[in-house]
Amino acid sequence: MYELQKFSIREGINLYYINDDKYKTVSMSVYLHRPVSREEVTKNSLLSGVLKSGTATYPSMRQINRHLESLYGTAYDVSVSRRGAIQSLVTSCSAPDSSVCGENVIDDVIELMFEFMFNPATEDGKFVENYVETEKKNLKDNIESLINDKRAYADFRCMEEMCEGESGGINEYGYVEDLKELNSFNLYEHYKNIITTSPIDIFVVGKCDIDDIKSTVESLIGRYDFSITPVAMEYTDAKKREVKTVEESFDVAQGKLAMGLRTFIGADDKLYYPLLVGNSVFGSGAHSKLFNNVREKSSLAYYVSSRLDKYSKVMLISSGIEFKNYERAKTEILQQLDDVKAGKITEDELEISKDFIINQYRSYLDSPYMLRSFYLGQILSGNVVTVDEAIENVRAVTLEQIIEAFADITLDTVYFLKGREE
Amino acid sequence: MQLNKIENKSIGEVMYIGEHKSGLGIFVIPKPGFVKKYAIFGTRYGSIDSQFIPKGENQPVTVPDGIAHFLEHKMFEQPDGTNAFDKFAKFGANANAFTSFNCTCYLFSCTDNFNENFAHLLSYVQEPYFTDENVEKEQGIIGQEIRMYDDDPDWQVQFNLLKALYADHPVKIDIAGTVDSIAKIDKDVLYKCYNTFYDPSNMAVCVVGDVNPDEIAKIVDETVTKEGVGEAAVSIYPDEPSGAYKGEIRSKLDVAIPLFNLGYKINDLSSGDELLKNEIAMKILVKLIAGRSSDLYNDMYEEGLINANFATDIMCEPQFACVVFGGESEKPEEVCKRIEHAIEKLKSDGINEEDFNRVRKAVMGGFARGFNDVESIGTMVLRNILNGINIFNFHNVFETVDIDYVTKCLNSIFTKENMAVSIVS
Repeated sequence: MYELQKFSIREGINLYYINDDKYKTVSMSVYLHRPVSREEVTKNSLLSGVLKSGTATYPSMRQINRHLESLYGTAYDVSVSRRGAIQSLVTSCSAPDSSVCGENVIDDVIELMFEFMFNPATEDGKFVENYVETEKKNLKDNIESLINDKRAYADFRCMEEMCEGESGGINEYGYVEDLKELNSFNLYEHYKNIITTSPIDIFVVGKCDIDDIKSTVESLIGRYDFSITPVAMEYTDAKKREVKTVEESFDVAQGKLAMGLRTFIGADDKLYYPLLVGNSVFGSGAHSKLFNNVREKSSLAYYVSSRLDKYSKVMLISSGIEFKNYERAKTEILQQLDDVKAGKITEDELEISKDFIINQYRSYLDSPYMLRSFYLGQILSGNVVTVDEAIENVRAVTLEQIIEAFADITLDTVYFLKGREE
Repeated sequence: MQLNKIENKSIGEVMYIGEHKSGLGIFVIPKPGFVKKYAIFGTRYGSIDSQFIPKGENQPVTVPDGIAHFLEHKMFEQPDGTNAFDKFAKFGANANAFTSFNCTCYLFSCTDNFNENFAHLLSYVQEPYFTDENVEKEQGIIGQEIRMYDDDPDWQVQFNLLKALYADHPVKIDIAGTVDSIAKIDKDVLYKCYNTFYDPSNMAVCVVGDVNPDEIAKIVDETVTKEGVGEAAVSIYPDEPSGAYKGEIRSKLDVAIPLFNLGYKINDLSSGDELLKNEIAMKILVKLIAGRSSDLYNDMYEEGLINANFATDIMCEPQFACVVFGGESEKPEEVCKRIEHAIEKLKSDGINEEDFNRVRKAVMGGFARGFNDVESIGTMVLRNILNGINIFNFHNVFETVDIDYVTKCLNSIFTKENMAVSIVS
């Protein structure tokens, strides 16, 4: 159980299976990987919307959704997801297991997933014009509506300012100004260029006859000619610099303070696990220094936490504060960081932080989505460890290693979202 | 404590049910193969319970708005000066709590040390520790939380709708209260609320995961030392007139696209299986009216009137009930008109049997999907228990929801009188 079985379908296309009979569903997803670039992100993001609008067999969303309802409410989505320098176009479906609906719907669902990817609805040798126009508008709305969630907006703006010119600063959902030039012709051209030239990973989590699925996948894949260019995870070589400060004003009652720091430690670095544990001590979870000192003890923030982007070598500290507390909150947060750097960590803090991460890792074993996401991240960074091995790595972290991992962490960008001045 | 085993064969799940001598209800769903274990401990006490007869008294009192949520925050404060989170962290658990309109729940999940964490959950919720000093500190923290909601357009559009639907019912008041209302909270009134509503007979606990039910019962027996009063806490709700209170509420915030909520108030309240039956009927109805396979949704989506954020929400509670269609649109008034029109059309054409059967399948599949992880199972089971529903009866009740019943709901609930609109732009 939980073991990742790998089947090579052909060069650049792999099928992964995690056999687990405890779920009521079988979850499947197809990832197509692209290198992140400003030129391409908007196209791929728009493509995800167009691909879910219709297939050759089910040419409208209405027909797709009727079909899925009759398959006992099988859920589906086509989306993009980004890990550092790699953007993936993802089709995913989760179908009820035959034990709860009395019918085997898995073959129908696999067929449909490949339809989304390889057999979209077209007209006159291009995408359906209406679908492209509708999805352009939707994507524009989506990108612009980021501002409705001020917390996410502040975090995103901080990353954008910090990682200007790097993959980490690119918005995976794309850019409104790049949408204008896209139409049903050139988007279809782009689709044709990438669909048979990009690496593909297929994940199946649940209980099923994997040999059967493998031969279905092989026959579906066999219909197309592939010539795949591998995509590699590339890391930033950004250096230390003067702290960049950015402030923006909105009609808001509460301020958002986001701070971006360079860690210089990526997913494949030997100090990654010490960094992970140190980050938990510092700011991830209700046991952390940030939560207990900045929020609980000094009441300087309603929320305050730090998280790592291991693919961009960034630590992002995110907080909600009163405008007038800006300086105090910033100072207090950085004080906590200095404490971790100085190794002011009790035995208890270290153990609790490790347990917190281990608990998270073990929880992945109960979630098809988290499990495949965990393994995909490992596969893309070229260093596959199992959940159990990751847990062992966390356990082995020492205080000295945390001090070493934190020694170089440097504040790079401070972003403050404040109210409008009267 | 004696546990009784019940079974739902359609989804292949069993549940053990018991009642502790204090009146506390125990519900255990063993899930072999799952690594995570989850426990949720809740009381029938939420933001709408601001008027009640305190335990040991006979006159009703009115307490400040937002007190149930405030109390939830304060429960984490321990008499020895520590925070209840500390011990959970030490035992590797992920702990949290939430306050809704009609319940307050404390919960954790963990992969290790379940028994220690479970005993801690039961203990800290039984040990309030309120002081003038810690109440004052919390006023600062919650004040920040309230301000955060003020800036949240999704929250605003939802509460404005409730303010438009309800004339007097406290469901229209923000769960966290206001900065002014929470300033009136002191430790005495917190104890009054606690003693009234945190009586074991007003509470239930649900455990889900790879656990032994007898062991759970044993921990409850050892840890719950309080005597229950055995009589339910009495909340007083104002008489809410039927029909929507106002047609429309609009407000302004920095948003990229206007947000709308169109709601219908359900005047006839129910509880127990009747409530579950109504909830299932509403689930089927909103899918028929505006689900992803409906003409309404697809036409509006293709015309660019709505985007993929369009969603429906059903609030079916014993004390209040409504159904909401919400999303983002440049032309929210047009969307509302179209929804009304689609409802009128469905009323006059009648519900198509093929559509009904297809949508039913999706609702049934959706229920089974809810049993995919321990947290969603536990939360679903407990919230239903607090509303007098045993969710393991789902399939029995599901069978009673036929096309005639759904048609009856369509005609009685979706009327102009019951409708209100909220727009944030």
